[in-house]
Amino acid sequence: MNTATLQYEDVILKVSDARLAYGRTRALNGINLEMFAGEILGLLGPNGAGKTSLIRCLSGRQKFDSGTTQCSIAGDYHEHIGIVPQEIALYQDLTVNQNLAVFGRLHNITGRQLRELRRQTLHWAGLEDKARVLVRKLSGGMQRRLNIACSILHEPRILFLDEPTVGVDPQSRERIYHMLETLLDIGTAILLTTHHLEEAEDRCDRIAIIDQGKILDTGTLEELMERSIGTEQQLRIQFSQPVLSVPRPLFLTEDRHEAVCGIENASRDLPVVLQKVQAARLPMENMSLHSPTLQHMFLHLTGKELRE
Amino acid sequence: MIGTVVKISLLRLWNTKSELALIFIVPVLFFSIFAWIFSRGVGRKPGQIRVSIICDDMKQPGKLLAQSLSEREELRTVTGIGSTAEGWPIGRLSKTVISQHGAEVVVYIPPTFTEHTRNGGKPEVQILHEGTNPISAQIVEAALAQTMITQQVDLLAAITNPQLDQTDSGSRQDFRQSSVQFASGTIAAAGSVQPATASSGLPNGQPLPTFQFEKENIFASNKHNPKIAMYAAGIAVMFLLFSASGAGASLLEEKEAGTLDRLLSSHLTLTDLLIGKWLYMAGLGFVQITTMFVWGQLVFDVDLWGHLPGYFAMAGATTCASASFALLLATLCRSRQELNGVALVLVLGMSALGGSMIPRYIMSESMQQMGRFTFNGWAIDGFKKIFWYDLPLSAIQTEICVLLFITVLFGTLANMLIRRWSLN
Repeated sequence: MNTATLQYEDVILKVSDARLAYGRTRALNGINLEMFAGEILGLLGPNGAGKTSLIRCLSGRQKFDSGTTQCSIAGDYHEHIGIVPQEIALYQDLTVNQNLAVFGRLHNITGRQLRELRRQTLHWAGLEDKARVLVRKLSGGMQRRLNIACSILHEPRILFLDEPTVGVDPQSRERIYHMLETLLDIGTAILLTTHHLEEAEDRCDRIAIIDQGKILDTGTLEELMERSIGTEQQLRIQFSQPVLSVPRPLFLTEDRHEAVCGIENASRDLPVVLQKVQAARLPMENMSLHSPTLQHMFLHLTGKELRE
Repeated sequence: MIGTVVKISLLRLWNTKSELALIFIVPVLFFSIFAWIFSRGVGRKPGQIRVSIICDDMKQPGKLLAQSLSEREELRTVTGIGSTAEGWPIGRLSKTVISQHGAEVVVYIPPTFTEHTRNGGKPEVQILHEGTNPISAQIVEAALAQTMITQQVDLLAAITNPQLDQTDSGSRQDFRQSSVQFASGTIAAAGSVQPATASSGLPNGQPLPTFQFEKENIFASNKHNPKIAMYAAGIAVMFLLFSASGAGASLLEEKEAGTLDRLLSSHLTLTDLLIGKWLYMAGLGFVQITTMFVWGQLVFDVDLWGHLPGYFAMAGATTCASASFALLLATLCRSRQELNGVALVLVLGMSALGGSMIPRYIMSESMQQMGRFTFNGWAIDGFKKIFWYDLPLSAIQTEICVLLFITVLFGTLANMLIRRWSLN
């Protein structure tokens, strides 16, 4: 890839007060979003939240009713973007090479440049030995990789990925994220929608929570936690038999078999709590310490499970 | 268990209303179309043969025959009763009235008709036909024979009284009595009407005339295998529509597979996409139809090489119109399944009415007019003018204009309808 490396702090795309309605239904209700070079921005939201509408508008498939989109890269916007639809958006009856060629030509890449970029992209996706194979004969994971490869052949600076790992086995998923990491290294900004919370936690630099056509909050996982449910860990102590009372800061649950409390600093507070339990001679059987999860935070912000 | 399987199938059918409708609509529709065709028509009006009567015999018997013929129910005179003129011999005149005025058969009463009758010769009437409708000439021939029998009294009066040549209708009744014997004339073999007895009612005792009919296919005489060209045109247009509809489905496939999103994220617009698909379909259709005609030339002696300019014009216009038709269908429908159903009904319906399946000449007049609302009808008419009538390019201007108008209209509508795709 020849794309010049950009700095993380470079705002590459800015969406301000974007709105879109289908009749009386407001799909996007004042979206504000920034994408930075070299980051993966995870877009999380329940079904019908407006994720697909937003991606469609950002990819040029549809126009916002109002609002502005600013791209900091000079030149034709379409040349700087790539879109990976959720479906395997490939021509099944063309070979891998032919698919890459036709999508390259749509971005005005021809001749020697096309051949070179095709070679690089095949290598990037690990599909060199499948170049002459019909797409319909590829495995699901390979098709997913080619689905992404066709979107980055023209070296976009901004990549929109709609559920790129749906139905993919863990090995292929790992490979796909490895491919995406190489794009991040050269400064590509990636907007990713996913239903895999662990993927969002592990892979995204920042997360935007969208619901009812609005971005509820955007930031790193820690920032979002702090602003919503806090970063406090939860200590759970289970007893071998019901107890009558527990020392503070623990709270006894209803069945009296378990006590819980928040721990701000585990190395400082945990020994103190355990000492109090020991001093009270409580029949402690098990203990666990839980960090707050994206699932909790998502539930807190939207009031819904992600898959609703 | 088996009941559950049946129930699943029924529920699926019930939930797919378009499929449900097609199951019942298609058979009823096609039964109706073919029932109308073979019962000869909507409105029960019997089909008529379109004739043009050219009478060069200025004497009373010729005029009387022409007049009587024009009044027959099974015939419809499209140009009235005319005559040849300088520079317009019967051959040229017949070709013109058939190819440009819609006549199927020309009945020619030559100037010597009365003279031959009176001199005891064989009065000859020519039946000049275009040949695509094999039954039209026979119907006219039968009508002529019948006319001569039913109008025998008046005819005999006119033949035996040359004085009537100077008057309009004369005192035909005076001769009725003496000419009843003419009624014994029967239709003989080989298209002639001959009296059954030697005894005639003619005053000078000369034998009754034997009317001779000469049939001539004025267009097919120099062609090797002319009818195949017409079949080729009919079949080609129908399959052109089917293959164009199939190609139009690729547009819906783009939408369903998500490649549309990818395509539109580039510089490509929906209009570009439509133009690209249209060019492909029109090009493919042209190659398809040309392959068929080349095969026809090589194997069945269809004279393609002799009609290349007209062929290119008609094939080009037809494929352009069929491509726009396919795009319109594709943009009207929401899924490939729906498109397949709609295309099946429309293509078969248009082909049945337009003459691709059944020649339009066997349809009633009103159904033949309905065929003009199908572009099979226009395309087949154009090919007919080129291959059958050997007409120049200028003669197919109307067909070309109609097909190009369809191309533009359907293409524009498709371009408007595809905008809806931005919303879903």
